[in-house]
Amino acid sequence: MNYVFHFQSIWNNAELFLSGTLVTLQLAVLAMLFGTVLGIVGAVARNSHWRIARGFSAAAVEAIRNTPLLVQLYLWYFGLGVLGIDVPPYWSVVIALGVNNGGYLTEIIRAGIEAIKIQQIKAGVSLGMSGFQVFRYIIIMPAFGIVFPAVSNQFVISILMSALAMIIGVKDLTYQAVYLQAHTFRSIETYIVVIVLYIILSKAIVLFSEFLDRRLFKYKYV
Amino acid sequence: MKVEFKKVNKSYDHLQVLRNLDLVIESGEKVVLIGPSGCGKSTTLFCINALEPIQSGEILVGGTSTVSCSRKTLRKMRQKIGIVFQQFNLFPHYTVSENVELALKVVLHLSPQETHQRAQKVLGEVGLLDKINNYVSQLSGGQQQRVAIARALVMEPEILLLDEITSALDPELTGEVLDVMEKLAKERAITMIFVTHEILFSRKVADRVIFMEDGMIIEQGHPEQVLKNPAEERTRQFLHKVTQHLA
Amino acid sequence: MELTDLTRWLFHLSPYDILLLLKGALTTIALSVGAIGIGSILGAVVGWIRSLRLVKRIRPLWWLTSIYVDTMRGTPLLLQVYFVYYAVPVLTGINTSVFFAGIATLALFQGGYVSEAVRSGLEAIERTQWWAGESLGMSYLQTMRYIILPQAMRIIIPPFIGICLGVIKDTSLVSTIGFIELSFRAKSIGARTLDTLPPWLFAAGLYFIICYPISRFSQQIEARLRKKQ
Repeated sequence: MNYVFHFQSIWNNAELFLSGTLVTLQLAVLAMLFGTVLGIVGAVARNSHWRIARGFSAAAVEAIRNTPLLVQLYLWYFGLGVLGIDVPPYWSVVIALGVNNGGYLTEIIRAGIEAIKIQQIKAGVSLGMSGFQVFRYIIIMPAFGIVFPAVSNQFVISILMSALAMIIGVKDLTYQAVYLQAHTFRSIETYIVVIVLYIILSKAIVLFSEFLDRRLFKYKYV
Repeated sequence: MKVEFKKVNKSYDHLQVLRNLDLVIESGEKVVLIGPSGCGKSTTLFCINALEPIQSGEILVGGTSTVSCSRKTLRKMRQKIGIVFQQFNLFPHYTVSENVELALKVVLHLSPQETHQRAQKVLGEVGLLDKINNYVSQLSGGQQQRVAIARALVMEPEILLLDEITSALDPELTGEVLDVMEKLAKERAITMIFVTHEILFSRKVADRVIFMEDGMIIEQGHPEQVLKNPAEERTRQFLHKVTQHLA
Repeated sequence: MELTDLTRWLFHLSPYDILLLLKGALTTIALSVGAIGIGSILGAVVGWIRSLRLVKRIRPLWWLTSIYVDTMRGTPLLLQVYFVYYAVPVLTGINTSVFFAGIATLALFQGGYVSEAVRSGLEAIERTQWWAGESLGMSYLQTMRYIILPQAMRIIIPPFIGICLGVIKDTSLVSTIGFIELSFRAKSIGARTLDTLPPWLFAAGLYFIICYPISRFSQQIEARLRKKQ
């Protein structure tokens, strides 16, 4: 191998890596927040009394989980334009990734809710709680405790999937990697740095979520 | 509060568990339901607070129907009916005190001071003041059941339903729960309806014992009469089977 | 009514474009099969290696495999695609074709995830099962084949199908380096006709037709495995 590593140009452009990382994080966080809201709504809809809600949410989940995110991204990006709504690429990514997350989180949260034993609900009802109160005090916390690992895994997936943003021009970390590689021709060094950054990011999230899990859901570990 | 069953029929899918059941339990009475499995005794309990729907008949609690009332009325009535389940059904994500206080805060909207006061008193009565900040999973079965009793009692119900509360416990733990129940039965004037296999306990605590089989009442009366000198042959056979292994 | 009018009315696409999209779908399927085939073997080997007590004790061996697995699972596939196509040739001096880069990246990616699924499946089998095989006089391979693998498969297969499903969808990313599969077709038709939505909608439909049966199959398998318990 006759290749000499030059990392100087990397240090000179450190702020690009930083801004790229920030954009990646922003996209992932926004998409997760959006997706979690959709996920809770979807999970409730999947088990609701109305057939329309059940059918629609089931169909939406299947559509989301059986088509590539790239396709969904283009559909939102072009589709919103066709409908007359002018959305900048950044928000197209947030919407596409958010809805995608929503599809997967619906199933995750639904599994969590169904894992709550019906006996718990009977106890709450016997104490005179309303349906909403039962949901809020008896179902939500334990359900989240059950699904928390899966949800944080979905967050890591979001970070990795956010890379698709570069395809429509959003300046996330992957965009910066390709940009720098084209401008400095130091492709190996650029990619090594970005690879390490992504790995640090995903590992940090996993560790932090394990920490959060032990803190928020103490009752699981006593 | 008085509980009345009038010609109640209940089935699970196609299996009929209650047949034209007529039953009156007076306010303040301590009643024990005994009978073989599947005879409908637990189901009777669950119908009182409408956890289970009935197909025909009427159930009146304190004069109000729990069959045909509105959801709001039913919720209000459930505040007056306490239930302790065989499997405890405590909330795993709350501590002992949180389990007991939850309904006071959320359903009865009591002030923090009153909530705390009531919880302390009731947990003292069941003997668990030292475990107040533990999570449910850290307690033994007997302790968990006592928390369940406290959770029901703290609502100050007028009727207490107890569904085989010792059946899920290891034998050495049933004593502590039965002792607590005996004490409560003696001290409180509320209506108590027990479903149990504990014959000795029933003799000590019950004003009336009711023997059920196949969804119907076969025999009922004073414990000394029903348990020692049952009038019906089926009662005799059942009691013989239950007490066999004690001898 | 002519065929052109029919397809234009139904899909807003000419029959020719529909044919291109269908050809793209076939390429997608072929690419998926190739990547999954190679990747699964790679993943199974790596996963098996990582499940060995020996490897776990010798830290450098463990770290070596971890570099591979953690990179596959901790970085975006899109980045990996660019890396293999643009950076690796610089390093090794070999100019790779789009085809080779695409299938290699996907296979490596698949392998990383499969290795973790295989590892967790193997590690879930209690050591007592191994002892049972040994005490019956079985060799390592025999114990694996008759005792360990049948049980491990039950744990490995559901996530494995999920990984395969993911890879089928992720083949769409190699369109960015010029691999002519379904997404590439959709993009180029849109760029040519300036009517960007219909080809993507049709492509979405084709992806769905490919993936949904696999999804349902996976659900059925999971249900049957649960019943057997």
